[in-house]
Amino acid sequence: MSFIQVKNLTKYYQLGKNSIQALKNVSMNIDEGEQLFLGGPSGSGKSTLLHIIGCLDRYDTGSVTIDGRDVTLTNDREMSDFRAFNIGFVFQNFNLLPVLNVFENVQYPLLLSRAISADQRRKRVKEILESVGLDAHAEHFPNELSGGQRQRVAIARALVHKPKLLIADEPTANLDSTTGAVIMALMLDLSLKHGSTVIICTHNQELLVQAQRCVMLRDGEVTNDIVTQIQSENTYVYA
Amino acid sequence: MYTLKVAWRNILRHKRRSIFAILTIVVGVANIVMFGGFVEANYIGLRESIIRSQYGHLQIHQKGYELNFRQEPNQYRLSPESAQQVQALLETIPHVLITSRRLEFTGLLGNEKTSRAAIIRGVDPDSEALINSALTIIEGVDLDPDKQEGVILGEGLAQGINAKVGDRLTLLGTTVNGVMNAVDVEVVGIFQSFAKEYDDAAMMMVLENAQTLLNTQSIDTVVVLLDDTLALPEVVRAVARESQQRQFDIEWIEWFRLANFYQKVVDLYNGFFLFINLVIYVVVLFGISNTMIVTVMERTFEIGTLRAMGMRRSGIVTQFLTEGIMLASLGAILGIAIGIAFTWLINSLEIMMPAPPGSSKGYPLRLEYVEEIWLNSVSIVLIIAFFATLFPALQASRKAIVDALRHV
Repeated sequence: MSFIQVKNLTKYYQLGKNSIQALKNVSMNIDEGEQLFLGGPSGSGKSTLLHIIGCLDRYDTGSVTIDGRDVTLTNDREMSDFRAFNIGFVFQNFNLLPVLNVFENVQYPLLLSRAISADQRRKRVKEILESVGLDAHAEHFPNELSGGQRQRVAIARALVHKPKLLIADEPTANLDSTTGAVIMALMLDLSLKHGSTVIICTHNQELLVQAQRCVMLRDGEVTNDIVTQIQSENTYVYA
Repeated sequence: MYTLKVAWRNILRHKRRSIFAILTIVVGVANIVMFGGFVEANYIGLRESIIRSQYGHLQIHQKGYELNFRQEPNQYRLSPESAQQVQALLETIPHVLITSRRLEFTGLLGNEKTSRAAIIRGVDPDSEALINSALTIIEGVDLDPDKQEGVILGEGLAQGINAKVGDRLTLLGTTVNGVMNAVDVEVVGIFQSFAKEYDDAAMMMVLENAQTLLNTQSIDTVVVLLDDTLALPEVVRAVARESQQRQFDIEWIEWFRLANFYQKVVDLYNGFFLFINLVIYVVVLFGISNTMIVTVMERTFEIGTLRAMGMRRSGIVTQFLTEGIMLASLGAILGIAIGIAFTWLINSLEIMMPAPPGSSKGYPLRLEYVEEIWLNSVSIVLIIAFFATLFPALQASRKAIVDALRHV
């Protein structure tokens, strides 16, 4: 059984008096540990799909099962807890909390999931900050960091609680191409190490071409689902 | 702990907005502290003036006196023996500072040119001087037990018959047998109390001389002064208990039951205080809610992020409530501190206030330190902060995560 099962997913948006169908009977399966890129033009429905799989939004018909759990059946509180324990998010705008320093930002998901002791928490945050190369910046606040550094913090924050699923919405869109490549490689490498399934939504054609699996959407429908056999599964190149 | 840390840092982050909200609360609470202190000082000042210029804390009479003394004053007076027993009893009760006998009646006071009706009080000069410590002798001297014919006149009464210190006057009264009688008196002093109406008609004389005029050895009242006004209920209980045990045929009346004016002033000031409090609290309510609404709007993006990371709706509500209450606590504590500082400053400046309506003399402006008002204002501000923050906090928690994340 696939880690994520999406069946006949339909989502409507109300725009004034008009109802717009954002997703039309979308179905797909994603295996555990898989790294999937969602591509497509603006308005294709990729962000909507990403949000639904990330338990951030509801859908109208169909079903979404993550790790055997039908997320349709959960209430807001359960969905919050599910996200806290199982999902990590990386956003286009980094979305770091401006009043917390790097260490505190990364620590936040561990506080929300309340899963480990304070000592373990500190150890885990220190380790992940080392792995993203920001251990020396632990006391810095977001406004003291570059865009690339902020996104590294965001990746550390998304993975610190070892989520089963990492969701990234245009994670390199606000970075220059060199930094973007480094960040993407870092994110994929770390999620591979943590065994997290990754879904990345992007416009970047270069990334889509290199992807292990790429699902293309247009007008709310899946137009292509391409799986590429990569030669060395554990290798990501830091540009 | 993290919630507190985030709340504190957010307050510091938006310094200008936080300062504005805190200032609103500070000004409001400081005003309540000062105005409450002013009102309390007025209550205390008026209360003590009334007690120490007219009524004492407690007045003890023959049973039935209050109901009947206007019709049959002579039937309801305390005999010299009863008065002595009552005074002896009172001396055994804690907090009783002094007791004094009084004989009150109306008479006609005049000289060769004019005369006026007067409310006359025959008193023990030594003990009455202590009880009437709020009475000011503005000319001459106080009564002297060795000078039986000496009298002191209220300022208005003295002006009414054009009497001066040293003048000799004739006092006309009715004896207990219903016969007109007269004594010659000498004005030794002119006094001013807190109440102009009283000063316009009042005269005091030595008790023995008054008893001579009325041809009686009895008195109307034993007036009691305590060392602490707040001990009055305890003293009243003791008087009730002891008088019952000793089978004394007496009744008593507390000062506040005699002082209608005081109760009216208290009611009036309470009304003012309530209205001012309401206005201030409404301003505080809008100050806090305005700040929190703007805070929530500005941090929509952050709310989306926290919710995406798995924070429950209750977590968002708690976060904003913590900020609102922290802001209000800071404002309330600072407001009380500033209110206390200004109270001290105003008291140390010793500003004189003009005579209030119905009073014949001014008084020093004084503000009391009233802990009850401090605690109440902090509690009310915190309750206001809770409700002023709750609505925007609930709104924040109910935002769709996807919309919040898209918010710019």
